[in-house]
Amino acid sequence: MTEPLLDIDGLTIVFPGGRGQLPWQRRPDVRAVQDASLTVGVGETVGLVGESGSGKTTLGRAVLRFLTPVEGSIRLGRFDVTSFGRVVPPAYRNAVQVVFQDPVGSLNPSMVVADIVGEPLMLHEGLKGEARRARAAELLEQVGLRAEHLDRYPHEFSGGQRQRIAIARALATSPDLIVLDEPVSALDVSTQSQVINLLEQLQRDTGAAYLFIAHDLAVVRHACERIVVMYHSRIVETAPADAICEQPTHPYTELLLASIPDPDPDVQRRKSEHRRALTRGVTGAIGAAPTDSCPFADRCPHVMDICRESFPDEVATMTGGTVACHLHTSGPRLGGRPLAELSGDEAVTSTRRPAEKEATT
Amino acid sequence: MSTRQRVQSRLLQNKLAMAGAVYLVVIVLVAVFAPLLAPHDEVLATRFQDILFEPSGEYWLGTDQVGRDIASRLMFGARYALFAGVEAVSVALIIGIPLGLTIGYFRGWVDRIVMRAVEAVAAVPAIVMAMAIIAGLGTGLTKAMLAVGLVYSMIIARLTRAEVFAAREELYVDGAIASGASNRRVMFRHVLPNVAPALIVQTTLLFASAVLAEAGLSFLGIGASSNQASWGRMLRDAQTSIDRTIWPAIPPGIMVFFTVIAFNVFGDGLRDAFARQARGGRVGVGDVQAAASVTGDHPVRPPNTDALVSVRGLSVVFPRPGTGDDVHVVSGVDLDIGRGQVLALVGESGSGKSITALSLMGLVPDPGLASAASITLDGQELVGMPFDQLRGIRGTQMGVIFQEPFAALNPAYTVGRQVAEPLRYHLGLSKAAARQRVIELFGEVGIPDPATRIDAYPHQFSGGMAQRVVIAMALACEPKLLIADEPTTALDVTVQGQVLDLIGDLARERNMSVLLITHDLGVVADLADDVAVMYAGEIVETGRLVDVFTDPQHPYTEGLISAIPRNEARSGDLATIPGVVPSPWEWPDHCHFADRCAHAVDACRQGPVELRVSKSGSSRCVRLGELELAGVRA
Repeated sequence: MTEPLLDIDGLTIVFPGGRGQLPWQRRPDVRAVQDASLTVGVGETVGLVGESGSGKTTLGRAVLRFLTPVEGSIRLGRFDVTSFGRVVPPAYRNAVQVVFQDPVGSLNPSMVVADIVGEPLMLHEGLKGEARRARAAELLEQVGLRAEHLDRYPHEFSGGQRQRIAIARALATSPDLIVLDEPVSALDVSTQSQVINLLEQLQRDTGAAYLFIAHDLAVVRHACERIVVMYHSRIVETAPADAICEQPTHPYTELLLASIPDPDPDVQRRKSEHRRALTRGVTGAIGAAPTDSCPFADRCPHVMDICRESFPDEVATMTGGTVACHLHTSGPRLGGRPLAELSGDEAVTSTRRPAEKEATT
Repeated sequence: MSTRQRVQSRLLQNKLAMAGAVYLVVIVLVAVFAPLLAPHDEVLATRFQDILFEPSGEYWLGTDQVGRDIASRLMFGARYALFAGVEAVSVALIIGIPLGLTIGYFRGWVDRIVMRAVEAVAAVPAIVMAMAIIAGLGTGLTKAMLAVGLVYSMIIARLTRAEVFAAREELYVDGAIASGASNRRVMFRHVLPNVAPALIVQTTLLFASAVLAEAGLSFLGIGASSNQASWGRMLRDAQTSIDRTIWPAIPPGIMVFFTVIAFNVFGDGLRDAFARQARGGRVGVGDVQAAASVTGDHPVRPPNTDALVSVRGLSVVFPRPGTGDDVHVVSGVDLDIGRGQVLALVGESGSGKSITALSLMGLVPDPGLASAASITLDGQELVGMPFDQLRGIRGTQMGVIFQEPFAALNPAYTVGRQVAEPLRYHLGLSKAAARQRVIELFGEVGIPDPATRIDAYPHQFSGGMAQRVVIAMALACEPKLLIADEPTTALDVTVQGQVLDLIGDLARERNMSVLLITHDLGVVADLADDVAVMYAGEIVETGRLVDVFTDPQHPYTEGLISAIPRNEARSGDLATIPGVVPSPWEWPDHCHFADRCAHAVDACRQGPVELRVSKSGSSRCVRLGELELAGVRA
């Protein structure tokens, strides 16, 4: 395999707990990301999927060097990101750009589009005046907007258009990698696909790689070549997009897939039955992420004793990815085969306890 | 329209603020041209014997105890007042803004140390602090106002810091850092312009304080000297002859009073103008008006008496931002929700679906105006019902769930108390009975350990659990209709299914009808029995869920279905609906969807399109029956 563009290895990010209600109290530290490793190849799109609080955005912010990990390394091309001091080299800022979820908050409301898109041009290429304006207009046209939009303020645009402006700004420095943090989550479905199509078009034109952070596995499947699934601070599964969506190897991925509602009422009836069978308890992930057990253990329909004793080692899967789940090394010893192989075993799949069923109805 | 224009136009509409502004302009002009305007000298009496004269033709406002013309001195006094204000405020801004920006932006130990100093200064009354500083620097107007400015700089620093704290969290600041902007650039280009409104307002108000401080210090004799006709000095002089007449104190007193008032009303006006939402006019909501005049030409179908809810000819009008012209955002909506049925109202943002639901409850957000031929709930006509009666119905027969559970819950009260409130208010339950009922409700919505959890605060719940609390609150009075506006959009997908199951189960158990508003067709497929598709203020298709989704009769429905990302392998570009929902004032007279429609022909642009009966429901398409449209199984 060729050298990856972005190489994250054993990344752990901890937010200090801060002061409690009384001066001498301290809240416990929050382990937002634990021992996470992933790579993004040149010109590749990797999806990072997880629910709120899973650590996916924190991981993205570490790549942008908004925060410093306590352990592990991040390398991007020739840059060793974790070795940066207080000042981040401008060349790195050139190489990595970002598009945020919120199309309202991510553009400075007091600047016109020419200045928003022109700012990185001025900072990195020293472009000024007419030259800068002309280049900004080119970028706008590249994302499907027009030069006449240069003198407007962000609030004059729709959500999808604002996201295009944010993308134009990110493209301004010809970055090697763009961190897309939920870039389409706030948009209508029709606009979502427009933006995804645009991102793909731009990737073909510019060769930029994307780290596509999102919570919707169906969206990510369409936008990405490989998918990384995070749950409560841990990376639990990685695989090529189609493989992970057809043959999941981690129980959380399976639950995630069963939870995406389908517009076909018949399909959805089957899916929600499947989802109910996979669901234990009534809450999502809460509290601090455990350090020495599987964070999904409390919700997992296949939970075993060992799941509460240690976090599993990564195992290579048959579909060319990795999975961190004890099912693959203990108990049924799936050894990287899809979870579907368990479905013959009724005792394992329908571990929905009667007591919890009563609590939900 | 730029932000500046918006602020200007709002400010111009505020009469009180403009009165203050006009007054201040006059004061500035008088101050500048005082030597030309004043009939007499500032310092010297015209004639020594003319002391303590009443107002007259020669001395408009009389003379003081040494025979100086009060009117002339007032005019010169305006100079000192303005000078004092400008000096104190300039000092405050020059020191306060950079200080506040720096500590607010970098935080950490610098912030902690500086803030303790700022707090110490702020704990001492400004005038006492100023006197202490003057004791060191010596008296005189310039020194006095320098001292006042130093005290005010702490106020500015504190305000700037607080505003920067908030602005620092904005995503565009992160974006600027990611594109390599220096700290200085981020502070001055990205943070400062967006905290400026708060600073401008505070600066205006500080002028008022400075004028007052000048008057106070001069009155005490440590501000303006005896040959400077400041208003405060005039008050001090008037005090020496107070046993003979009170008159000389009145004109300067009035000048100080009105100048301070003028700065304050202008400052408040600025604050309102900068506020993101217009504050003017009525705050709150309006009910639905009877609509004979609005429905106009097309005949109104009679209400469906079998349905729980039957809406006929619902229209909502809003004034267009900027111009104020009336614009329809919802027009001629008919809806029927069967008993125990779940009706999904679907459409993109901007289609008018949320406004439709709010109108149904008689909660049209100001300044909107809703009108309808008829809205019936369980046989009762809601249109034209007195507000109090409608409120009772809203409280007991309708329940509502919004997208953001934490926005619907008050962080200051326990969840149990909030759920108990409608029980006590509408059903008149005792405290103990309400508490017992809340515990039952929490059990019904699947909150584990309800007896303990009712005493928890909203922040102690996860999003999914908080939404269950909101559902419990909506169900408290056993409503016949539950309105769920994007109830799961803010929740994690693995929790979404559970909440949808819960809503479905509750509706079935209680034979409760649900109006589900969502843009997610997957959620619709999970929960709904009937579907109404809305586009640009109009219902474009209705029918049973399975029919509409498998065999859509309107191209917009087809577009929505094809654009939804599904878990399946793809080939080529994703399907989209080109363009965006246009703004309400851009809606054409003909088919609203024609400009984005792949099937549009000339006939689609010939005039308004009526909702017609289709093979499985109704559709507002000119080409109804001609088109083969793809559904979810295509």
